[in-house]
Amino acid sequence: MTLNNLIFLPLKKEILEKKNYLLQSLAFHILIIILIYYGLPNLFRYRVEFLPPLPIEIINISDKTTAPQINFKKTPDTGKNKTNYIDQEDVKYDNQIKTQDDSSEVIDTKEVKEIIKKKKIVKLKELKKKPNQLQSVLKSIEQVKRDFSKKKKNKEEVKSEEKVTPTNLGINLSISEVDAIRRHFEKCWNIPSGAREVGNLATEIKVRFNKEGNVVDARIVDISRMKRDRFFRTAAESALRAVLNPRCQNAPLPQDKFDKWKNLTLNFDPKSIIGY
Amino acid sequence: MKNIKKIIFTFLIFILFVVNANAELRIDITSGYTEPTPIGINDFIGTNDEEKIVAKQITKLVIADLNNSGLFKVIDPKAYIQKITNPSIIPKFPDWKVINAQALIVGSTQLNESGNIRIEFRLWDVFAEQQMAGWAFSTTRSNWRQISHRIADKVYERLTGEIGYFDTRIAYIAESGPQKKRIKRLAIMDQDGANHRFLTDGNNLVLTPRFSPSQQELTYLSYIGRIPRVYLLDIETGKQEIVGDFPGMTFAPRFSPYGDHVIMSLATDGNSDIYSYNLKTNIRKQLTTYRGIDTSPSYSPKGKKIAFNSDRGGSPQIYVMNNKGKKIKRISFGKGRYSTPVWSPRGDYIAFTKYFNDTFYIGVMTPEGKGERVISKGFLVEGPTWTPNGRMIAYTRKDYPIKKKEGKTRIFLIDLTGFHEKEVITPLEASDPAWSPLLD
Repeated sequence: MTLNNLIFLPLKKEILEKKNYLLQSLAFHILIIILIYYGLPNLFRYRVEFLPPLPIEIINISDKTTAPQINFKKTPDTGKNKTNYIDQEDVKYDNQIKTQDDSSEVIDTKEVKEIIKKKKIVKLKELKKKPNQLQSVLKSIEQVKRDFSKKKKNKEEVKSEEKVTPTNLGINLSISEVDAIRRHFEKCWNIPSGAREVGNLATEIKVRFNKEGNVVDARIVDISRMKRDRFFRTAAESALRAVLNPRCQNAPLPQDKFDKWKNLTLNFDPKSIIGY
Repeated sequence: MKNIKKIIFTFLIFILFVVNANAELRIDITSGYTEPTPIGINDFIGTNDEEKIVAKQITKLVIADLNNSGLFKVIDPKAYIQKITNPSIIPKFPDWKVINAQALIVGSTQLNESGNIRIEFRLWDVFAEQQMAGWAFSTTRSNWRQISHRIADKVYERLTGEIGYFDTRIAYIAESGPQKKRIKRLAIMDQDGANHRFLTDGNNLVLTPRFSPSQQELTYLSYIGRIPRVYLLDIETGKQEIVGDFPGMTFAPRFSPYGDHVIMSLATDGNSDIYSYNLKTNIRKQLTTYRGIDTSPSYSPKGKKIAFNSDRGGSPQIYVMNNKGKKIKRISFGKGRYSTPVWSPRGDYIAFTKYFNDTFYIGVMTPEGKGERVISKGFLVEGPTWTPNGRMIAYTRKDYPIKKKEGKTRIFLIDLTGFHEKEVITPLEASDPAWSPLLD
């Protein structure tokens, strides 16, 4: 009843009185809703603007994208330090001799029990040994330092700067190195054109490299699909041929990161030619 | 309960380690190049003079077929380092890698006393150093052409994954004479131009020949007695018969995928509609009822849908409906006039003729109307037909007139990707090509 009152009676009233404000309002509302849904018509012709071609240069930025290298600064081993060390050693040695004498004196005066004597004799022996050991350790450190300083001098002759880096396990291949590998194999990959369902033909190939960057072993990962799907088989075989192509030996792989790239998985995805 | 929780927890942690252990680097390669694949074909081997003659003929034909497909490039035999004379040995792969042959065909022919030939051949993957496949065929010596085409088909199928198209024929209209008194004859030949023969004498105008799926019959339009009607021709016997005896003009005929119906346009009183005619029961069924022009019907590969040309929207456009004439949907929306839709045997494209701005185009689009692409254009290009593998399109091309002289009409063949356009050589001028299905 209220619905009837809200809509039909006012409309009736309006039509009877020959005033159509409600109708006009309804019409405008509907027009706005239609415009919102379909949008304003585009009266201008769409003109394609051609941008000027951008010259592109490929720069190797691996030195900026690798992990920071830690610099162990070394103080050069001059002659002065050496002599200082020797002096210290001698000084220590003298001290220990003194203490040894002291302890022996202490032992000589006391004659309370044999066990105690024995212990003290043992202690004396130990003391006697210890400074010897210490002396030998000190001597060996000295020896190592001498050898190291020699090596360092040799290295310094060869290189101007020496950086000590932590082990390479934490450093990944940089973006430009990955790009170099990608470009290298792209030039050997003959994509089967005009193939069906080209959006679903990505092939993974597991490759093993040797130190020179040559492919030692390559195999297709999804072998069961090779047997079922002949378009996948064609795409997979073309990817395998790209890896085994003699023109693509000697891949540009960084020698110092061999651990990172000796086993690679290459995913050949021909999605880029979709639309054919 | 707590114990179970502990076990599950440790198991999940264990899985974490296992998953993390495979931290191998993975690189995506998303582009390459597209060029014909270089392959090597060692001369087919024969042991005596007769066998060598046949072997040479077969080798020459296989090389021509694979080169013409545009997907392969057979390396010049003069560049081969190893010349294989024993079909059972394993090839020296480094010799073939050096000349960049990605695949190698080695075959042999043997002649029996009864005059039959037996051909065996192997396909080798040079880079992977393995045999990809091996086949053997046996047939009469006079059939050597067909066998060569079959060999090319097998190699093509194994290397591309697509069905081959070499063991097929082309039916077309051979044209001769001046433009005002043109003589048009129905002709048929192998897809490489061999075994050419005329099927009609040229006394009556013939147009739009189409093969039946069993490909022993042709359906076409002929003006016998000056009335355009659809006819059936038996290729072996040459017998002609009319399709359906009913009033009005019938034209644009095509077979259904299983060969049991012929679908065509019937024009009565200025209104042309699409009819389906059952060849066994001789019952015809009307599929469209619009009071305008509905013509050029073409079945989808499984026969569930029909693409056709209609001007119900104001200009000739392409529509798709189901095989009962319902669910009609327009699929062409670009500028210009769209006509002659042909559904690809692969089912993924519809080829069409487009006319816009005084130029003709041949294009393809998906059956939903997306991805429209023109692949050829000219003064007059029209009437596309697909090869059985849905990879290549043959069509009629007429050149621009030069100094009041009409341009020549010829048949051209182009790959679906728009590359490798080349002429199909015919003795006279040619138009309206139709490609046969694969011979069994």
